[in-house]
Amino acid sequence: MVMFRSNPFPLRAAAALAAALIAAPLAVPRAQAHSVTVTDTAGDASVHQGHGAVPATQPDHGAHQGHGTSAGAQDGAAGHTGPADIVIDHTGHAVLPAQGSGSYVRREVVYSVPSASLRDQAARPVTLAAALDHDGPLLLNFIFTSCSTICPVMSATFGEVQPDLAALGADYRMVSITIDPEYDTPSRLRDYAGLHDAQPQWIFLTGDTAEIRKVIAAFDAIYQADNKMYHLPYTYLRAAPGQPWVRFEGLLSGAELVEEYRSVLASQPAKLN
Amino acid sequence: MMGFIARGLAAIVMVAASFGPALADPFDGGDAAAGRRLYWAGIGADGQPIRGVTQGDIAVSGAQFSCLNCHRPSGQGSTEGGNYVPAITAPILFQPRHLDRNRLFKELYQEAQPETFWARVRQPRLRPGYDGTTLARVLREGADSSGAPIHPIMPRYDLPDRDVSNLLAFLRGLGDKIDEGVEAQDIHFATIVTANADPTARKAVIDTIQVYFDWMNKDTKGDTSRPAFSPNFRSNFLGAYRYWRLHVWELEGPPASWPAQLDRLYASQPVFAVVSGLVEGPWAPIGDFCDAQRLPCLFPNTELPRTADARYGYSLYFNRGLELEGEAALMHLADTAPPTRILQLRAPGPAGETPAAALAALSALRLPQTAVVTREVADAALGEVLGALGSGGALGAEVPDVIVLWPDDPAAAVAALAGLPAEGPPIYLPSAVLPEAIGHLPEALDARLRFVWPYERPDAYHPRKFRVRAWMHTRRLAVTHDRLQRQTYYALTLLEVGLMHALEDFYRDYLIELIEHEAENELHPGTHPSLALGPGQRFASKGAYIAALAPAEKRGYRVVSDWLVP
Repeated sequence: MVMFRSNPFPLRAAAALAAALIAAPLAVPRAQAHSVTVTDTAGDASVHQGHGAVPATQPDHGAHQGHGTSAGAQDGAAGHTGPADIVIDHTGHAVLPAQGSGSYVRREVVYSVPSASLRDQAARPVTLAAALDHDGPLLLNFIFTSCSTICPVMSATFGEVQPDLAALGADYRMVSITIDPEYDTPSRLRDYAGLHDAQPQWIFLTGDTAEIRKVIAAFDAIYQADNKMYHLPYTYLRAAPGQPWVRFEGLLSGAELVEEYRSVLASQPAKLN
Repeated sequence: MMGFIARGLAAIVMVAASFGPALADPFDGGDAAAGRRLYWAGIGADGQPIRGVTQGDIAVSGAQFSCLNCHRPSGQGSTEGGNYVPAITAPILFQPRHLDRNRLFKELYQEAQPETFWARVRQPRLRPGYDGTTLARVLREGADSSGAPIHPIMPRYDLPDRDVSNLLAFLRGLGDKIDEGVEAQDIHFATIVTANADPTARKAVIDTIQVYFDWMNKDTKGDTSRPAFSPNFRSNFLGAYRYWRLHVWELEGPPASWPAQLDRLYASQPVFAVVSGLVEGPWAPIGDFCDAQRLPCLFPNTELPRTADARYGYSLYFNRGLELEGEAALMHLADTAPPTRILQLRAPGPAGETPAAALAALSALRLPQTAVVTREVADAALGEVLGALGSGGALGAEVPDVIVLWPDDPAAAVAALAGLPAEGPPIYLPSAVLPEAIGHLPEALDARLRFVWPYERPDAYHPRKFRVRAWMHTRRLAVTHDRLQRQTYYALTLLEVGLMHALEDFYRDYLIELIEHEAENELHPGTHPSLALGPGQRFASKGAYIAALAPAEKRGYRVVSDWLVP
């Protein structure tokens, strides 16, 4: 066995420790209540890439303390190697409560959509901008089809709420983007869509690894060590084009997602037809 | 606090009760095979997918996910996406929980996880061992054997008694004993080589494995020789150390005779896993043996993996080999200059048949208007057939837009190409021909020749590549087959890392799960652009480049396409 060889600390553990130490000054007491709402209104889109989130209890983050330490997250997405890839998402550390129904973190964030060339489940080329260019409410998540634990639940949740969202009247769209694009070919995504009874409003996207990484970075969904097995459950909801995104971290029940959807729509000014 | 004490007392009562006379469990008598089907496929005794509710109100069926998804084939649970899924093997599920830091070593110290994950792992929630009644309750109502509610992600299933009985019967045998090939001091591994493989390549592979084993065992000797001197709590893990013993299994004769040879070799010395190796010919007969024995066969060097039904199989591969190469050639043609007529000249046997069939199948999908003509041509006749093309020879007067060669012997293909004119349709070739072609063909041909290259591009930078080569040089290991030896090193690395995480849980399924989990971490030695697996995935690299000869370049070739993933 090779417990502790020349390097007494396994690389990942050491790097994680280092990252945790870096993030330590930002650590704040974990929020007690579920469904913490944070509004992050920094308008500078470039600042937001990979940095969007700051600790929930510091909504007024004027000095942007968080951004210096999260730079590595973006480096990781760009495929750099070395300890800088392994970044503790200090957002998650600061505010993530236990997952499960009734306990998720809600925050409003402005994301800038990068140009990315993707393919849908019918293998048709589609840009990210076109996929998100929907004049109505939009839900988005990141999944991969061979994922063992959280993606089946997230996809089942999308599948489950389809009739409820349709009943609410607005013309919604759902977008699921794979984080394992080379394995998740359009044909695998088609099978997966069938498994979850996806209606035509629900599209699945894959693409070149580099393009997908751009999208992951833009939505601040970077996972540690560039290893998809460490990805976290994020669901994104946007009421209409130009509106901020609401990002949920954690797993929602169907009723919770429908209620969030309803409240986001209700906060919209009445649409002129 | 009171609840904790109550649960502790309950545990004590249960332990005490277990010394009394054994009472029949009302859920005894289930069918373990039906239980296995429930666990793996979510199919109940009535043949229908089971139904449940996750996260409070999300209806799920066994077709969407089953026990296997989260608890994995080994029952050791999983740690994906910040969720901690506990182990449910027989020794854990049917015994009272006891707190064991070693069991949580991987989760606590080796994984980058959110704090909530670590908090959950550390929860000292004691509970008595499960029986049929408490198993039924946790599956149906989500209350564990102490009565405490479990996480809402675990579905609450609407499960008839018969299904609970079947599952109970299956779970009683899940991980009830460690797998074969492990002794008190030693753990046995095999590597499989075929007698017809190139002897110098075979030696390079075996030498690499042998040196790796030697150094593993030197380290093990050092680590275990002074257990009282234990920096970094090494002695906590003394029970996990084993000396690695290598058995080289050489297969002779036709592939049809390999399974019988393998059965004999395994019977004389059971091994825990097969690692690397060099096989000339189809992997299928070996892959069938690995599946039948439930024996992990890790990253063999083969161009002919068994690609059908690979998911959750016991063979893990670098890529789909020549099948991938056939598809990548077609994909490049379809993307760049869709031809109207493709002529494939393929050698007899699987090295010719496999890529030719894959190209033709993808062509029917992508280029339905294109005629694909495939002819069987022995390597020896290749030069003559190529020379006579278009002159009314055996293949008629018509000249195809593209020629694709799938030879058996790369050197024979290079010899056949040498006399061709610089003008003529492009010729696509498999990757094995590229190293032979560099420096052995007239430069005038460079523009005509395209090679499928399912490996890393020559100008890529991977820091670990240099570390691996330094490792080889410092151990006086001759590097005669650079990529082959680095691939072998990768297979060994994943075996080492997998066992490091498994500690004393010597279960083969668990080893594969750990490798699926770790393959994507930065261990790969620059042989492919990236190597990654996922649950049930068996091909770590999914695509290919198209390459061309380029004498001015340092390595004599360059890639001329994007990374193509068919």
